[in-house]
Amino acid sequence: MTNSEATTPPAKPVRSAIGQSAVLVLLGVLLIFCIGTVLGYFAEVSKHGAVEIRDYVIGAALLLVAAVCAWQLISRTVQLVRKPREKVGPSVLKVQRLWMFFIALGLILGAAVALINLETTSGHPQDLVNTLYSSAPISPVIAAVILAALALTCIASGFYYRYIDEHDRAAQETASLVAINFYFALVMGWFVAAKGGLAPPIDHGHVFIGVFVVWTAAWLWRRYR
Amino acid sequence: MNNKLKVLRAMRNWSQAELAERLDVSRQAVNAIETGKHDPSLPLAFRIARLFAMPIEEIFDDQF
Repeated sequence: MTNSEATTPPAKPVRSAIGQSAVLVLLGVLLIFCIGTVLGYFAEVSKHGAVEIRDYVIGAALLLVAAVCAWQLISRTVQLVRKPREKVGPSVLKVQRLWMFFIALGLILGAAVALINLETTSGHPQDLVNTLYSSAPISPVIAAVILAALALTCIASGFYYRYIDEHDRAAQETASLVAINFYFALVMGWFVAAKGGLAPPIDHGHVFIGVFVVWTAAWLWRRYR
Repeated sequence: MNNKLKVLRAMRNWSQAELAERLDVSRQAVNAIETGKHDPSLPLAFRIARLFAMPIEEIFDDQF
């Protein structure tokens, strides 16, 4: 018997929410990879002469994989949304709704980053990471959309911290403590290493991503261990 | 801190999710309290005690 259910275990094993989310993320990444590869492949091929039948076959195969991924992504998402959920208390229900809202905001931010990628690097897939760190100017409309999404995230976060239970709050506190110590150690260590010529100058983008990853890992560990 | 939450819940044939709904906390919170990974605050401990109609000290004990 596991810790999760002392009585009436489910009739068939149910994949956890984290597992379902991981599958969805992997499908999304594979979908983006396939589409990006097709675009990049045909951009390169067309530079070096006429497109041959072999190129069309490769492109069609990748598009087929992309179509399967898209179908799986859509059907699994619909299943997840339609699945009857366990009853929860009013505060937990509010937190769950806020998570849906955060996911929607994430999709908006993701679409904005994709638009920036198209705008600044002509949509070349391997430049997607560089897009995040590039100092190239972006459209004021896209900037306004991102700022609005960030403002909404801050407001929704306020409600989130108001409605979460004490166990989640404890996980947030632990994660924040771990992340702030990691931040101090990383920045001071990197600064000194750069001064001593042992490392390149501090990259604040990498610091941001690193602290975010550490915070998330600590929160997940504290909340779901 | 040790507690009898798992036993009391099993006696009522409640799942962790059902207990979580009654306490208005997440299922993860109930699991963490039952396994001793999270000590509940006083307000939550009082809610638990009221739900099971027992004194707090009969449910939670650091001397088990």
